[in-house]
Amino acid sequence: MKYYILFLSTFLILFSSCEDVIDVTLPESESQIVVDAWLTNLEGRQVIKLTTTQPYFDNTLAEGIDNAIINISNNNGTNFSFTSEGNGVYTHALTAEQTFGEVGDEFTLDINVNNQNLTSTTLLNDVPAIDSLSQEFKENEPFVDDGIYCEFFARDLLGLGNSYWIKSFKNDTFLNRPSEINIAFDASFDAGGEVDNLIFIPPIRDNINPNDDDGGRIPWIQGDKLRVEIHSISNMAFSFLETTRDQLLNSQSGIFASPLANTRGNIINETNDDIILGVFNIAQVSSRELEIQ
Amino acid sequence: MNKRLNLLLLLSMLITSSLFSQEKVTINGYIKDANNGETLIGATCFVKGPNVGATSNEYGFYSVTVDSGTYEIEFSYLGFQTLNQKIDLSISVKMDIELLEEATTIDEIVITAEQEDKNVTDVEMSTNKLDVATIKKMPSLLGEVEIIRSIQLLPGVSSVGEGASGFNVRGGSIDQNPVLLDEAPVFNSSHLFGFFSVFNPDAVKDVKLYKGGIPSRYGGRLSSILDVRMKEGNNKNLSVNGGIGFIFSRLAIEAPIVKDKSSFIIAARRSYIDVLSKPFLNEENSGSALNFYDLTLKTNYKISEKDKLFLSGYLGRDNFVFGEQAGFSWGNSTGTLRWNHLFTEKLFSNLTFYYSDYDYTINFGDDDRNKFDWNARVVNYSLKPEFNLFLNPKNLIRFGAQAIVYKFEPGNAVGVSEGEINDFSLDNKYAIESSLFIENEQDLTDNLKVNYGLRWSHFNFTGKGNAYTFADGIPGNRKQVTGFQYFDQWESIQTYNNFEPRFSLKYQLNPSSSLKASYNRMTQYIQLVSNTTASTPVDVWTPATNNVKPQIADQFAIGYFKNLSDNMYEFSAETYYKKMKNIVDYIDGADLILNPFIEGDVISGEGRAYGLELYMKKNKGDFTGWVSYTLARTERRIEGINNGDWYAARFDQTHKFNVSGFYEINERWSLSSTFTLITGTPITFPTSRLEQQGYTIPHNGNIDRNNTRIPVYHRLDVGATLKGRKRPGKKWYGEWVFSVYNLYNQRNPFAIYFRSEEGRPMPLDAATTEAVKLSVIGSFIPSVSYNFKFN
Repeated sequence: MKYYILFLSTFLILFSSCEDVIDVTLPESESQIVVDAWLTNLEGRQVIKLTTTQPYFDNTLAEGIDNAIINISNNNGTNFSFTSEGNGVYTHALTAEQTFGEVGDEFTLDINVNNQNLTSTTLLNDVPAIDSLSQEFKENEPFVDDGIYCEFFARDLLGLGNSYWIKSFKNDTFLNRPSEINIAFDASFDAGGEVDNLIFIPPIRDNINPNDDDGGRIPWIQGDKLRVEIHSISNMAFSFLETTRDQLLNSQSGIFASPLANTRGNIINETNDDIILGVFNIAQVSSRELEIQ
Repeated sequence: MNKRLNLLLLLSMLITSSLFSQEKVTINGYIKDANNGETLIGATCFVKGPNVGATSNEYGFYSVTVDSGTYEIEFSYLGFQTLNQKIDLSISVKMDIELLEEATTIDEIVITAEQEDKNVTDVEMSTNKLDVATIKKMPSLLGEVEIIRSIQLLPGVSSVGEGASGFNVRGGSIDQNPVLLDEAPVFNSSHLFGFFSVFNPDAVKDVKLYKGGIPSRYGGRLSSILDVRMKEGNNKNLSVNGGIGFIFSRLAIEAPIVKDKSSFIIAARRSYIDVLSKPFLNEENSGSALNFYDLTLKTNYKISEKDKLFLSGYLGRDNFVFGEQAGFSWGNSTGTLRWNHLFTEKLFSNLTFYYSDYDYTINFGDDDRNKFDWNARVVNYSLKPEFNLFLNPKNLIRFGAQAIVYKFEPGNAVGVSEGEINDFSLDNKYAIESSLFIENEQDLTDNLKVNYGLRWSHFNFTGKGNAYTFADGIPGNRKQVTGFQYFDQWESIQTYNNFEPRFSLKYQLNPSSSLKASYNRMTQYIQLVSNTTASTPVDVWTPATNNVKPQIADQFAIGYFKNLSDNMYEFSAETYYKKMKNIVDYIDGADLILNPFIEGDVISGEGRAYGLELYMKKNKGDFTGWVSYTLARTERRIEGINNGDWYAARFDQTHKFNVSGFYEINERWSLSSTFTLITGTPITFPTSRLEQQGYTIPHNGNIDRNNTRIPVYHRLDVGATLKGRKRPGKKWYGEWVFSVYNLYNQRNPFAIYFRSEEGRPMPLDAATTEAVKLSVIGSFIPSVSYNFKFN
């Protein structure tokens, strides 16, 4: 719910505020294991990444851990083993006949790495269908260039506490800027709204358009292909993405930035007190495509 | 119980002693400015011979009781000519005194060599009084006279940075300093975030900041009291003040309604960036507005010699409107009605009723079928009877009570999606805060003066609405709701009560120096919910609840006060130690907006602050000014933050050094300058980064809070004033004020942020991360403004 903060900080442009990239010395900490297990219940290659943290200014790819044994089990007894492909990548191919399971199933992730047992559980939640994607030519609106912009329409599922990650793709490229992270809690911004079974509200509805560096909207061009996916995620995964987005956009909040906050994951270390970072989530996915006219 | 008994005993002793004394007479009345009839706060009436005196109270009233006889009585006030009068006091006399400003010398008045040495002789410590004339002389950002920024030049007062609203006093957060405008609290004292304060300098009479030794008549917040008193309005003749600056234009009109009986002041300011920029906006932005304004009004009516009524009000608002659907606005309004009544020549009373309201609204959306409207508000009403009993020259007893009714509307939000209306509104919260207080300012011996008192405060958090209970859980993590219960309107959910002892003492070492000590306990029952670096206008106030306990602070201070060279120089050294309980903070990643379970994200712990404040001021001569230095430490310890260890608070500043200087070159030209040097504030830096779903996220592997500091802050501002020629009979008087803010173009850091380099992240490519320094003011800012006065 940082929309309002971004809204506020635009006013500060009035003053001669400025940003300079500077060199700073950071405190050090021990490296930690990171589990990246955002899976879908869709046919195809499912990827879990096992990496470590690295110093903040180390601008190389995170180092993978390849000697782990990774297994996921469904509460009905089905096991899914993941095989190492190097660079910390572990995969399992789901087939149309054998996906992870059904909505409501509970899954347990077990990782054995460097004599530590890591574990996590998640539920497979349901996801609403996308009813439609629409396009509209906008002109003379404040803050946006004239051009074609899209919206998606879907209705939140009945019951409180559903969280979703809305992923948008332009010509099959995932829109992965931090400002394009589009998440919803019961069709609204966050928990506590106590709204239910509602059409996803703006600006969630229109945050499927690509953004430029400054968070401004880029219009679509005729012939572009838009694909929108809704992934069901756990409330914990929602908080993780919310913190991620707030932290990655913090520099845009100016004087109203929040203090650095660590993301909170759901991986438990059964062997010792070392904190394991990252998320295990299995998503049910709905999707829809539109070719821009 | 014991305390109450002692107090009663003391009271009865005081009263009996006054009954036995005989042939006592009282001189009382109001001390005023001869020029405009404004009453003077803190002026002195001193009876020579018995050498006793009194200080005029917040309404300019004084009262001294002595044996009958003829006395030479001296009335004095800083910046005014001292008046000596021989008065026959065979019976009690009511005498209103008018003092002349020093600049306007008239021959008939006797000017004595007696000088102002109040800072040494008064029992008050840890207080600073800034007169508006001094504030007006300071160089300022864009030439706007600024009260809140000016007090930040005093020792022990700081801010997290430029543009941040509010101020911090002796290790307290910004919500621990009530800003009282004619007794009504102004919940957000800033225009345009923290750049300008809401006070129109032309309407302000007196600004006083209590940092410690807070007398028991004040309460409700932990760290300080900023008491702003408005002018009553010229009751001699019409007077118009105004100014034209880069940001505001302002105009104040004051005049008598019925001469010497009733007068008024009305003062207004408005920004005009929007007016100036209008021709340059294109069609799509023509519906935009960006402005802020305030209106201050006060009037008084003297009903009789014993009764006086005051009505004052404030209304201010900031508006940012973008087209028809998007906008943001916030503002305060306050109203105060006061009735001064004189029961006897020794018993002065004031009954205050005030109302104060802060609200904001935010709208965004495409059209009526798709929009989001959101507003929040805090309203409070208060009744406060207060009595000043000028028992005898050695005892001034003040007692009274206060009741405040609060209504918090933490968020009314309505979202409309494709015509479907959805209400996200949170329950309102209600509370009643009441208190009783008594204090006595007593001269124990010629050298020893004390002020002791007690305040009893009571807080009742009431319905209607749901009260939630939460599971304990792991400290630092969100607490889960375990249940709730509905309460009817005004049905008590949780009550708290506290005794707050207050004590201060002055020991006069010799005529020019004294030692002072004080202790105060303060309780705070409402707080501002904020976890951003600078408080935003959308931060909401919330009461202590069944889950969030009231904050309590104990402060000890001692000080040495010395005046040099016939009071030309004032010097003070003070040291303080403050312990705070139930200090509020928030879990990492707390969700503070429109969250009904906000208490689940609140954590609390203890705080401590200690420091040394040195202050040297030159009062007289062509060159005046002050130097202040603060050495301080402010820490918090909260389970769930920083591994449960002590950490420096976000506004902790080890060293703070200020110089303010004013130089009168000649009758027309004067110069001013301020210099500030402050240790950088603490901030949390990441140690490492992690990758998740292609995002490179900063991470602090040590989970410590505020593990480093931003670089030191320093800035020099200069100003010059060119006064118009003064000629007898001339009615119009003008002056030009030139100033340069941040003269040597320093890019002072406000904060340091971490981000990935711009550009769309490419899969399989490593992110390039960088540190960015944000400077709110990135260059020097010159300005010119013109002030005028018409009499």
